[in-house]
Amino acid sequence: MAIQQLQYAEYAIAFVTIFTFVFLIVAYLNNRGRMKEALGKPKRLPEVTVLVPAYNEEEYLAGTLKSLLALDYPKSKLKIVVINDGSTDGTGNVAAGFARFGVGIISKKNSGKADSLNVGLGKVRTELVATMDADSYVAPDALAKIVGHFEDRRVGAVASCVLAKSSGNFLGEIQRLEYMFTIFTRRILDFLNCVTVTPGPFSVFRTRALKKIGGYDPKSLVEDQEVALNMQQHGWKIRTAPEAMVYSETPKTFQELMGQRVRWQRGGLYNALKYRFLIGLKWGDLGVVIMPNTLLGYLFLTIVPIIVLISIMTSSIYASYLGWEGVRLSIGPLHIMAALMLLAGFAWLYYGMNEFYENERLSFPTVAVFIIAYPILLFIFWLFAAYMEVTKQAKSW
Amino acid sequence: MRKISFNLIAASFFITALIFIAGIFVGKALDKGTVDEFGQSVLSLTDRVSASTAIMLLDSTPDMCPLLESEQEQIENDVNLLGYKISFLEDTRNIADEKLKGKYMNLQLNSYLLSNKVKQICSQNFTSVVMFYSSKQCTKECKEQETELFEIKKSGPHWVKIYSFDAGIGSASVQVLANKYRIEKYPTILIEDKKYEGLVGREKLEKIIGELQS
Repeated sequence: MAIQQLQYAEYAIAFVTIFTFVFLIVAYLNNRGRMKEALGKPKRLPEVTVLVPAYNEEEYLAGTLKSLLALDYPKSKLKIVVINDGSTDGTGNVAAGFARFGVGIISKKNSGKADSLNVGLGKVRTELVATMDADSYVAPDALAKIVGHFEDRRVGAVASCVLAKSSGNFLGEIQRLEYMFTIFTRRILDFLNCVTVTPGPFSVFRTRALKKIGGYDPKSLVEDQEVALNMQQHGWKIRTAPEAMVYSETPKTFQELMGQRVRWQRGGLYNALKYRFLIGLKWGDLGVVIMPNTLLGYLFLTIVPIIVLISIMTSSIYASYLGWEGVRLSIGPLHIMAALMLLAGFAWLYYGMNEFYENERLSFPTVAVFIIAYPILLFIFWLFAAYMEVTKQAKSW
Repeated sequence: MRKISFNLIAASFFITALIFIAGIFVGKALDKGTVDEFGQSVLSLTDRVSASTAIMLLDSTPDMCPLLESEQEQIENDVNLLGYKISFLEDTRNIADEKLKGKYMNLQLNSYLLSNKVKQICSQNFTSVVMFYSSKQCTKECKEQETELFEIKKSGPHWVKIYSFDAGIGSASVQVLANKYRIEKYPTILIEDKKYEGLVGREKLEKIIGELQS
């Protein structure tokens, strides 16, 4: 009986997972012609304050500030403020070196990124406020290409397109693809008004909206997702600007990546649970498809390794007798479904992303490796995150 | 209230259902192919057992031993392998074909009887361990016993031969064997005609088998 119950769980997981994939693919096909649709020149250029929270970022901060100073935006309408969150390295000195270019500095005791942003937000008087990670670099035309979206009074935030600065190795390549995949899917979700992240590397908000929702939640480890869900809750639209490019440094080693992703997973779980009330018909596609799926995703990430472990344990006693024959005999309906889903997913990503990113051709094997390696990495990160959650280990940014 | 993309959701649901049905359809077809393939293997092995039995009936002198022993060993290996495959499908995929299992039980019984006969004719020195279980009445304990026997089979000496009969499958010949030894409880183990009822641990089994050989 246990094996039968396990099979029911497997089928349920398969159905929801396939549905999610298909939903994204159908939504993509439905909006294919609009994927790269860019806004024309904005009617006016509103005043913008860019908040750059920094904690021990002496290595990258100068590059970040240089890219901001090089923005193709009237200097009279652009304010840049670095919030030094109690850095113990030379971050303060690097920021001070830019004071002569008009960069403002707020120095405070270390209290985390979200709180730093709130401190900065309290001092913002401009119509728009942008937040930018201190290890990211904005393209010169990015801001100008974003502000036009705010001509729609219902828009509360606009997400830029964050690309990873690839380090050239396998991890760097996986992250580069992941960032491209995220932009691609976020663009699809934009058409459904279901964007749930305003990326930390660079996002722009209507100041009034951000203040009205109470700013950032200092308890969240993934404040850029939390603030987006908060925006959604309060009825603000979040748009994406596919032509506004931002480049972000990414972890170079597996250990760094693990640390970052465990933090993201733990923060993601906190956010999903905090905003679980967004599930329901009144929240539209967000409440019917995206939020239920996010929560189920965490459940599946927990259940699937258990199912795999049970299957391995059950099969292991036969392994020495059956060898590869055992693999052949293991193939059943679920594998056929998975194969069909992988094929559809592969075609979607390969053709869709190559069409979307004209200047970044993705090779056939790269996409294939990504489709296989990425979910495995996700499982590994989640297992660590779940362990840290269960053992109630301290959270830090 | 925000917009729900009913058309999009309905289309996605429909396509998902199609993938699901296609998966189940193709997967079940593959499973049927595997069960049929095993059925063919049972038939082919049954033919080989019949041929060996015929040879034995025609000439049961020790002169025939090299031929009988070699054939019997091959048959036994193939029967065991087929048994593992059938159990694998049952344990990991929940595919239990009663008809196939019934035929396999008959094949295994014939192989067991042939093996005992060859043992007599050729004065072989091996120990037969026969397990009776019922897939209908006993699940957890019988499974545990099967695992213990698996382990003995895997690491144990080559002179131990293990057979397991599902008395709940409805095979008349297996029932006759079970009646012969008055099997009333599952699992029950017969080691050289001596009966052990209930779960017998690996250590105890190894001890009994060891004593028999010495």
